[in-house]
Amino acid sequence: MDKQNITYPRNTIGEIPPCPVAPDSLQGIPRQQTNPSRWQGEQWSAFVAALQQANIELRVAPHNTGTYMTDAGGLAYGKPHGVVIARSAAQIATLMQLAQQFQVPVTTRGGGLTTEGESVAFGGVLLDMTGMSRVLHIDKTALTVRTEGGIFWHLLAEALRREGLDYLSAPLNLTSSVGGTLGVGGIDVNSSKLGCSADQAIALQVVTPTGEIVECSDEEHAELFQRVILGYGQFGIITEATLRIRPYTPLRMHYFYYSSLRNAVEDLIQIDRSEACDYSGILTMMDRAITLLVAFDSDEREAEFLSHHRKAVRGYGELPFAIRTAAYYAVRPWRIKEALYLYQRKRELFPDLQPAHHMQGGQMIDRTVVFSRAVWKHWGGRQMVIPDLASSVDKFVESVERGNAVCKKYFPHYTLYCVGIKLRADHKAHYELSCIPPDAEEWAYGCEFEPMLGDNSYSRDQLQSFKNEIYDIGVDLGTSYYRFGGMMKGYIRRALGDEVVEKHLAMKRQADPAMILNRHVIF
Amino acid sequence: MSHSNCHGCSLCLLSCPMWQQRRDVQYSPQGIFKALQHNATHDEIAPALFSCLLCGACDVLCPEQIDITDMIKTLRQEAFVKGIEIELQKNIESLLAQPVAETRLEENTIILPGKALRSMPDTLTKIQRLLSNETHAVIATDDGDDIALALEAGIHISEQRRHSFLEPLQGAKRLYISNAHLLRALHRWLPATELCALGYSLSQLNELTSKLNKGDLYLIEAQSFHFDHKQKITHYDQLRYQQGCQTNMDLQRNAIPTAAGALNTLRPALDSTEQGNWILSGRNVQRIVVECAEDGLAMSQVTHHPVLHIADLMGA
Repeated sequence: MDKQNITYPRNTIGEIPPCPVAPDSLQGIPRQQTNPSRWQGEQWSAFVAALQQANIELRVAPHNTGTYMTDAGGLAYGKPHGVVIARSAAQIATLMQLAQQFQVPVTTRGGGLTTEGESVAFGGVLLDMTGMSRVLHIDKTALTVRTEGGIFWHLLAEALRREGLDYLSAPLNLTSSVGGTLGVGGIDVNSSKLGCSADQAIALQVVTPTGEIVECSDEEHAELFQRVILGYGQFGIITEATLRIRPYTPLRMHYFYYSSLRNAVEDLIQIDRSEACDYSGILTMMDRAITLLVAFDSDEREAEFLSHHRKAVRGYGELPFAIRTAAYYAVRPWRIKEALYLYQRKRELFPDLQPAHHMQGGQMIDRTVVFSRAVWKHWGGRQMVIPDLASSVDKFVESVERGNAVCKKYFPHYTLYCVGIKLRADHKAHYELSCIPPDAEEWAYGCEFEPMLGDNSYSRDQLQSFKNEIYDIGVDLGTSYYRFGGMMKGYIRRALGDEVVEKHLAMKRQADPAMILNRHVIF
Repeated sequence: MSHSNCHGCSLCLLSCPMWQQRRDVQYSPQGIFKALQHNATHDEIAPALFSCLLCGACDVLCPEQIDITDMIKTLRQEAFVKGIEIELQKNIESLLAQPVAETRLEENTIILPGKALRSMPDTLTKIQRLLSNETHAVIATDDGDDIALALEAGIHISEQRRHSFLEPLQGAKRLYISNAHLLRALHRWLPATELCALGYSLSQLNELTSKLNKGDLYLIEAQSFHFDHKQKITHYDQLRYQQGCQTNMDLQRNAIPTAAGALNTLRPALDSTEQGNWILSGRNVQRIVVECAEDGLAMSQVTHHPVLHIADLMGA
């Protein structure tokens, strides 16, 4: 068949266009189903007709579905058959009821900041939650906010800052959505003090996989609340959330520099334990240049740290570290390339971490904006792989050092981002089958390993091998992972064991009989 | 850089008034470019293309440094060529003034105030006085409102009309221009002339800005601010800190625009009231001070607080 003569219907509601590959590449050979567990479009036309009857707009034009072709990772590609923009809990409830009836998969997407294809739809409906992204109510007295689930954390901050308020902790990425984050965790540089973003949620409005609209919290429908928080989107769609908030404060920042990864990580853990600072985290440029960020919400906290805890910190200030580093490379001229890379990286990155218009009186006034824009500018790109290890305190140093060795084997340049996460003893049930490792007490620690891909071209195989090797460390040490869904879901059973996975799978089957909501993400 | 460079980071959505109102990725630079990557026709993206206010905030945010507003203008031009939005095209073409023979103005300093400011003669007189420190500033007879609209919409401007507009300005050393689209075009058309954004220039006059206080919401004119963001951000940040006034800058340090653009006024795609309410939301203000007269008109529709042009701070 001549490919030129094939015409595909545009905007044809209810019809799946013919596979563009099949006619010419498989001439005369019946198309084989190589992945029988994938949904293949059964009952799609009837489902679409039912959606139309329910007045739910479904977009099926190629440019509509193509918009959601991949996620921030840029490695998983898939297309939904149709897109629904979320507009109300009632609309989503109807969608889910019909999706159950016709057994059509529904993939939810907020900011699309997954890296393993978790927010990519491989057929079925993609539900774009950013359509529900308004702040509903700010309670200045109780210090809570009620917001729609699809809102980006940054837009929530925009609304809160007008009132002199701020969220507690959120991912250092402007376009993470609240609903998506509550479903997986959410780590900030203040998580060692305030916990992960998911622990800020007081109550949720959830649309269940079978289409019921349920308000849940630790007191009301507590079991659903436990499953939805850190539940990787398996047990419900977060349409509204009530979150704890706080008065806004700018940050007093301090950077300490290390040439030993172990020392930096040990100091991070020690500082967190002493509760001497409000923000902490590690960002590396390379083995010989590691930055420990320490920051404070008030002058008093800063002064207390400087007078009582600074001496115990083994890191150097910027100038002493620069002198030591220069001396190190002066007697090792064969490592000049390394020195030049460090210098160039510092020159490019540091101004973006302290831009004048986001600083005032030496304090950082918009940490998320600064860090997020720096992340996109210096680490962003068409492809991103960020495997991670989430461990208990005891295993953290070894996790980081072994992960660092793997990075070194695969890439000339990479960054490590380490941060502590304060755990809530009363949220043990929330943490089951999540990024929080089961053996963690009081604090968990996470380390992201992010290669600087730049303009270099790496094969998918190479990137996947790298991720696997990092995750193998986790299996060996018995850690968990932040990004354990999508392409990496094969590790869930290996890392967390069959028993807990089977338990959650049974709950999933009960809550979602047709297994349609965020199918294949973790089960 | 082209639309194919967009890899969908969504940062452009954060300051996009079109997306803020619709909460639909189709109505965002990312949505337009992603659609184009998947072979969307101009017809399919036209609703978003012609809803865009061209405020330029996305240009500042894009990590790929795609010149988004220029690309949208080009796409609008292409849409007209393909016969899309033909009524709008005819409408704007009918508003383009007939070329008339204009004589060159002799003065060194010329002000192009725009239609809204012309309807405020007292304010205009103050502006003339404020900007006449070194040389006498005159008001241009033809300040190219029609050309500004055509530039914004992506309509072709005849050589004769352009010539008749530019001829009186050729002798000037300095032009103060109210309209940002015109300002950008004049950078190409009159490269040797010193071109100043009118509102920004007024905001640099201490005798005016010293009258601002913490009860004021100062509205930066968004288009010209974003056009030259790196240079102007420091100035406005200082203004904010020194005077204690609030501004319409968001957390990204982009200016939230009103929906008072000429194209949106001619054929409303965005709700001017909703946009004004978002600017005011959560703010405790007693007075609104604007750089751009059109912004003033838009804001006066949504607030009972006094709205005045920055020039009117003179003698206030």
